[in-house]
Amino acid sequence: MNTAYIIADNMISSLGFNSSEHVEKLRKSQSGILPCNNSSLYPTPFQASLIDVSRLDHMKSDIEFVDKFTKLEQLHILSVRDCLSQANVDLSSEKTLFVFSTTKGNIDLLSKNYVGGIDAKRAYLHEMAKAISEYFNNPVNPVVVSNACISGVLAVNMARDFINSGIYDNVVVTGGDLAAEFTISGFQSFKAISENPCKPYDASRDGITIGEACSTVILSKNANGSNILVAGGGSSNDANHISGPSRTGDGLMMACEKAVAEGMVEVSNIDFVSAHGTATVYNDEMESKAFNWLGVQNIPLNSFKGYWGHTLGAAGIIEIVASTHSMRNNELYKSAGFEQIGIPESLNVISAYKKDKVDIVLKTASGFGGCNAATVLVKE
Amino acid sequence: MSKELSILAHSVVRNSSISINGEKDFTSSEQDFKTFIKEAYRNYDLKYPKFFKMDSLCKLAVIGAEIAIENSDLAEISNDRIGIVLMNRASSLETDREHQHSIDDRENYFPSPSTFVYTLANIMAGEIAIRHEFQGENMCFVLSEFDIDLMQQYVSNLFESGKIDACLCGWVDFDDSNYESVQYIVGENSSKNITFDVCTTKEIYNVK
Amino acid sequence: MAELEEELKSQIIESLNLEDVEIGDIETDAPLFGAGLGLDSIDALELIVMLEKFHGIKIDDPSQGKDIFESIKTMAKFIRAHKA
Repeated sequence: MNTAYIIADNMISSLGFNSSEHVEKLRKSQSGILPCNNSSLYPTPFQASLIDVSRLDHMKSDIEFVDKFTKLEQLHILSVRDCLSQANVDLSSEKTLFVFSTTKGNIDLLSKNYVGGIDAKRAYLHEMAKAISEYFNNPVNPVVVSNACISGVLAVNMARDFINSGIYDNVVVTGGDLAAEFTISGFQSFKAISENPCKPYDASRDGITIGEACSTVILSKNANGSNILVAGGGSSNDANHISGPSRTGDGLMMACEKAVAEGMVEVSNIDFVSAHGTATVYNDEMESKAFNWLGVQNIPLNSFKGYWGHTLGAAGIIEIVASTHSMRNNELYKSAGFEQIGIPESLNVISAYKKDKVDIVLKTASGFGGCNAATVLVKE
Repeated sequence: MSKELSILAHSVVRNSSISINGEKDFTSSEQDFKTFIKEAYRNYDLKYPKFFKMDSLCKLAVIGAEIAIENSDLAEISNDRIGIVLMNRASSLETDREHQHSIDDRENYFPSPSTFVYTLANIMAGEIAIRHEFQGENMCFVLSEFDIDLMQQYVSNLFESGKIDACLCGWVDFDDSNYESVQYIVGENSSKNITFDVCTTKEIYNVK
Repeated sequence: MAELEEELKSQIIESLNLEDVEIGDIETDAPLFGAGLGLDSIDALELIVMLEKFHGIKIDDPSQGKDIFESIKTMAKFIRAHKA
């Protein structure tokens, strides 16, 4: 039974504070990745996708008791509030659940340079979640999904599942992560960050760009005027290595197969693949193998990470939102950063914005720990 | 029509001791976790050098999982049909603090990839998946306490959807030398096993 | 002369958490990757950190590591050349 509709959405990243601002830039293939020379984030300059600080200061000024919330919590509040303006959902109902997707939450609280004055206990992910759900007077214990870069897709799949089984009528799925010193230093130690804006699937790709973002979808058993359904999902583990993906793509392929089967779609009817595409040599290579194995190698495909970087816990959500706009507007967004294909097996990487029918989307994600997840979105 | 599910085996690791299916199986006089878990590794003869690269959370998870898995009969189940669903409270904060410490002093700035890779809650599931070649569904929740109702609902749904035939479930938490691992294998009903439900899970969790 | 080699063996055992491995178990000429010590891609990155932390030598391009970290012998040779 498929009754989980996406009835509201929001995106906050370097490209703006709502989905319209993002779509406008996606249509122009405009990236938000810029050089960053902030030594409190990393000793030497690097490329990053960062949320506009002065605009955030302005936007958050009408949050009640705003100083009682961390930067990430403020972003979640703004993101959820924007969704509320689109759909009438009773957040104070026991039939409404909050699901959070994050890898590191308020990780900035761990730093000895932290000056925000928020209690260190909010570094515990569930404490952060409660602070936000309680702001909205939601009485239900929120759930935090923290499963590396697949968290967002897993969270949406879980929301779909809980709506279809009747446990909740509405699920607010909100994902976010900071571009914190903690994270940047870690990925730098992996030599995983490119010196240039990331180039997914490109022959000259050489690493990721970190991005900070917060994004929200509200799933509901009631269509509320929407015709976009989360139709099916699946996840898997490569069982190969904790930081390197499978060399065959078997795990990702299996996650996709499960999502497609549950979504009751044919692979040949998929119109667009929103892939993970981090722009590391190995991830993109693995995806090319998995997608050929699955049989979607000719279907228009992109990575959104060339626009707003790798946003970790927000990635699955923000990229699902972008995909829904692709569906609503029947248009395909360029895979930003892509110029010349450089993967062992061929994919149909979208090289320019164009209008096209988009009724069925396969969204995928892969992450540290060898995990993979996929979701199928269907236009009713 | 709901599938009837059972707990095939369970393990508890707490206070320097390990229980299998409710019976104490290994106890150490060592209060220090690192020493205790190394003794447990030797006692259960894991023969797995990668163990020593893991952080404390993953060592705890791998030992607890090993016991539960070794005491379950999963031979008939395909590895891509075995899921791992874990929960904890502290995520990877123990190792997060270690990584943070390595970057706090710009004069002594040496972030380590082998530390950073463990700064994610789900790596413990990844280590278990690699050791036992489990390729099925994955999920990692971070909550304030072991939410047995959520685990029951989520895992039951996975079985109902036909995505898994067995599942390693658990609450595995490590924070500032306080630790506990309660892990159990859920499979389809067998008359000799305990029913998988909220009551039996609470009993397992409350075993001293 | 062999002091640097012995020092490197000790540093590797500690940096890479090689439990049950003694200095005497590591042959100076033997390959570090592949069969031998079973080192992986994360270990290769960790050796880069080790080189900087204990010997003050920075490697920006991880692909250089393949030759440098082939064995204790090649590591010692690289360090001596760098300090000369």
